[in-house]
Formats: sequence, C-alpha cells, structure tokens
Amino acid sequence: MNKNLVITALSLVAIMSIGTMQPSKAATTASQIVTATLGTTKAVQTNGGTISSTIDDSGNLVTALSPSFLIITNTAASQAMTLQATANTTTGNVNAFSGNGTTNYITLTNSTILPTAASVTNAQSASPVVTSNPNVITYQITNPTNSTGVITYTWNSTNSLWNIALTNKGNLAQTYTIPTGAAKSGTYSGDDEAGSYQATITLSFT
Amino acid sequence: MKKYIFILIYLLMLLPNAKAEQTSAYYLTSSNPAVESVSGSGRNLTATIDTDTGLLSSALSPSFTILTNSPQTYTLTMSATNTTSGGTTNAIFAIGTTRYIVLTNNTVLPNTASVNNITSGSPTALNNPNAIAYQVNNPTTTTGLTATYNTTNKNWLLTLNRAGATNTSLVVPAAIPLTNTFSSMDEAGDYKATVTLSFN
Repeated sequence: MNKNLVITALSLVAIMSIGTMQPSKAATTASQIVTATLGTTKAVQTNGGTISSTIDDSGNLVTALSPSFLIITNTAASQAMTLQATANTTTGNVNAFSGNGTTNYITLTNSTILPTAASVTNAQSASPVVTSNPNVITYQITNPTNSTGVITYTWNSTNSLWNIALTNKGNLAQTYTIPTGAAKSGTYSGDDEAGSYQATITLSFT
Repeated sequence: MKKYIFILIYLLMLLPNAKAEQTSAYYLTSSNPAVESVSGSGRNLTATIDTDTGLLSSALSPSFTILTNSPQTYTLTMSATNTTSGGTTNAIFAIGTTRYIVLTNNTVLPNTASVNNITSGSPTALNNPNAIAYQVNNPTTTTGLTATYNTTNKNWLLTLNRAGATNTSLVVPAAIPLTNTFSSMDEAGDYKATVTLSFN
C-alpha cells in the first residue's frame, strides 16, 4: 500500500514538473507593441498667387488677382469650410462678396481713403450709381471650381459667401481668380480717389 | 507450542515483504534543465505624434529580459513587424547604416504598397499614407551580448555568451520622421509596430 502511494505521488510530481517546465519553453519568444498616437489635423495656409495689380484709367484690372491657399488635413471625412471676403470701411469691415451664385463679385475699397459702408452697399446693389459709391470698385470673381470627391462650393446667398464641403485628405491648393477686365458697371468713376483698393479673402474651417 | 507454530508461520509469511522493503530503492533524480527564456520588460511603449511635424513626443523603448542558466553561446533574433491591409510586413529597413522602423496606422490600415514605398528607401509622401518611419537604434548590448544587423532579413542577430538575466532594448528616439514618410496623408490613429525577440 505504501509503495503504491509513493509511486502515485512520484508520478504526480513528475507530471506537475512537466507541466511547470512547459511555460519556460514557450517563453523563448517575447513581443512588445509600440504605439504612437497621431491626432487629427486641419490647417489653411496662404500659398502665394498674384495678390496685387493696378487699375487703369478705365477702371480695368490690369492683371488678374489670384490669391492661393493650401488646405491641409489628414481627415478623409467631409469637413465644412467657408470662403469669405471682407473690405474695410469707415465703420469697419463689411462683406466684400456679393452676387447671386451665378455671377459673383468682390468689392475692393480704398484703404487710403476709406469709403462708408453705404458706399459699399451701393456698389453691391443690382443698380449701382457711381456718385453713390466713391472709393469703392467692384469686380467680378470667377466662381470657385468644384472637384468631385474633393471639394464642393455652394454659394450662400443669405450670407454672401461660399460654403465648402471638403472631402479630401492631404494637401489641397485652391486659387481664386479675379480676372482682368472692367469693373462692374456703375462702380468705377472719377469719384474713386487714388489709393490701394483692397479686400481680404479668408478661407477657413468652420 | 501450537501457539508458537502459528506465530512462526505468520512471521514466515511476512518475510518476503520484509525483504522487499529492505531491497527496493527509489532513486529520486532531479535534473536541472537548460533555461532559455525571454520576456518583455516594459519601458516606454507609447508616445504621441506631433500633428504638424510628426515629432515623437518621447522615445519608444521596448525592452526584453533574456534569461539563461548556461554561459554557452546562444543566438537570438530581434525583429519587428507592422500590420497592413494585406497582412503583416517587416517593419525594419535601412538606408545605408541607418536603421528605421515603420509604424502603421492600426485605425486605418495602409496597404502593403504604402509600407513598401517607405522601405524602398526613396519615399514619396503621397504614396505612403498611414505609414510613418522613424530612425531606430541598434538593440542595446552589454558584456556578453552583441547585436548585428542582418541586411538580408532586415533584423538583428543577437549573440549571448553569459548566464543569468540580460536586458536589451530597441530604442526609437524622440525625433521627427524620415523625410517624406509623414504628411497630411497620414490619418489620425494609433501607429504601431510589434517588436519581437526570440531564441533561434
């Protein structure tokens, strides 16, 4: 009886020993995972382009203005942006975009001799009167170009700006063009004094 | 008398058992097996990536403890892999004598071509989305432990000539990525690689 007990005990010890030796065999390999977390990014940078020109005696823009921006994001999902423009007046900045979505304009104001806001409003109206919009000149702006699956512009007639749906991951350059040519009828005249006529175009994530 | 005869017979019946007890022996043998094990030993395994520059916020340093009980020569392999949409790929490569490790986005897996674009040695940012490469040091060594980069297999051969516990780490310094491997094409997520040390 004692002998059987001893044999049984030794067998159990042997089995247990084998059991405890197996893990050390399996641990001849070890792995560790390293992780670096990257967050979302979205940024807009200026990207050159022509941002100065001259106005001739007829009010024509001599060279096209073509401010360019670089949109940077690492998100492929649709993101909202806006394209807006402002012009300075004696009472502060006012919206420089106007139009109906098909034909749109940008109004430049004399930064040397600021116009009134009323002068801008008149220039942006359907029937501007030259004597009512001194130091304000309005030019047509080329509508931004949509790119399927990349960027879509929708004219917001309520706020006179473009709403943008960006569906592009990576860097995307966008250039907005104010072509050479005549000013909007009724916005250029001898009432517009010499100076730098300016507007600020802003592209931003909302 | 009869009583003594019974006692004698009884003792004679016991005798074989008594002899067996005296001559049987149990030899308990305990052998000390060769021990060779490796285990992860922590250190810093996580960091963040600067969204503008790709800079690692802190060094990554997966570490291992090798345990042996014999001073004989052992060889081990340290390697690293990452995950792509096509499966697991080698995460280590070299340009000249500089080694790099490619981390892949485990939230939005890159394709294998993206990793290959980097490991080709001439990466172009547009062609390696969701994969970022950082310089990596050779595994740390100590007396009795050497590490040699295998240019063919793109991993390290470690040679161990000491008994006891030996530590080694694979350090990815806190630095900016290899040029043209980080861009806005790299989406948000956890960029990972698995570092493995194993006895050959």
